[in-house]
Amino acid sequence: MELLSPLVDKTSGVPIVCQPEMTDQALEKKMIGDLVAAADGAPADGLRAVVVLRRLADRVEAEQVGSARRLGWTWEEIGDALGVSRQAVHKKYRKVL
Amino acid sequence: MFERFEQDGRAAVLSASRQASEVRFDSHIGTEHLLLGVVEAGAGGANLVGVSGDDLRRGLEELDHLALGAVGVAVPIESLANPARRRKRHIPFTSGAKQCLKRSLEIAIEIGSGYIAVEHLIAALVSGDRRDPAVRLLIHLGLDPGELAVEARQALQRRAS
Repeated sequence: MELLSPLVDKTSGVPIVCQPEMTDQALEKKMIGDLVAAADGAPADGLRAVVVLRRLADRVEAEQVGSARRLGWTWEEIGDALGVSRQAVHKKYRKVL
Repeated sequence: MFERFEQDGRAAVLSASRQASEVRFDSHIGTEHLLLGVVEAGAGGANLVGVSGDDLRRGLEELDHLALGAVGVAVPIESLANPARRRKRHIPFTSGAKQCLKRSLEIAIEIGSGYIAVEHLIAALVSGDRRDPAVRLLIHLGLDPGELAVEARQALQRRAS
């Protein structure tokens, strides 16, 4: 993200830690501007993260249920481990496994 | 509404549906899938947008990765590539995607096209605000939605004359 990348002096390649030509007021204004921009993008990123995490969780669940079944776990044991009913796991995975 | 779609416009919407359900395994068809659809449906859309379907899919994975980072979850980007989820045959459009389809019809009426082609869809897709998933993806890939809007309208005028 551009916003988070450090400023680098183009000729020397040395990272710029602070900009001395900036007045305190200008620096403060810039920092507020950056914060507002980051906050505006925050819900979009946060909500997107929820969707991605759900998708990841679904994938891990499918892999783990498959592996448990191959190791001889019953649907009941898997349901207990996941905190759902035996019927719920069975209905969800009997066709795909 | 789909009877107004030109062949490539129809192909783009069908492709969007396929991209959402079979490639990305998402629960809805959003504007980002419509964008994938117009690029995948034929050379016209891909040339106009200036990126490939692979570029867009990679961009979506990068945005997923950034989003996880924003909430403090570190997952290797490769593990986001293949969600391996059961696909559903019929998935609905998001309200944003519905609005985009409606907007493409409005643009067609405004220009006097009498049909909806990929260029109308692109013009509608780039008119979203920065929160829109397709606009977000375009900006992430370094493309300018405003510029694309102008190019789409120019392409439509060329097609009409």
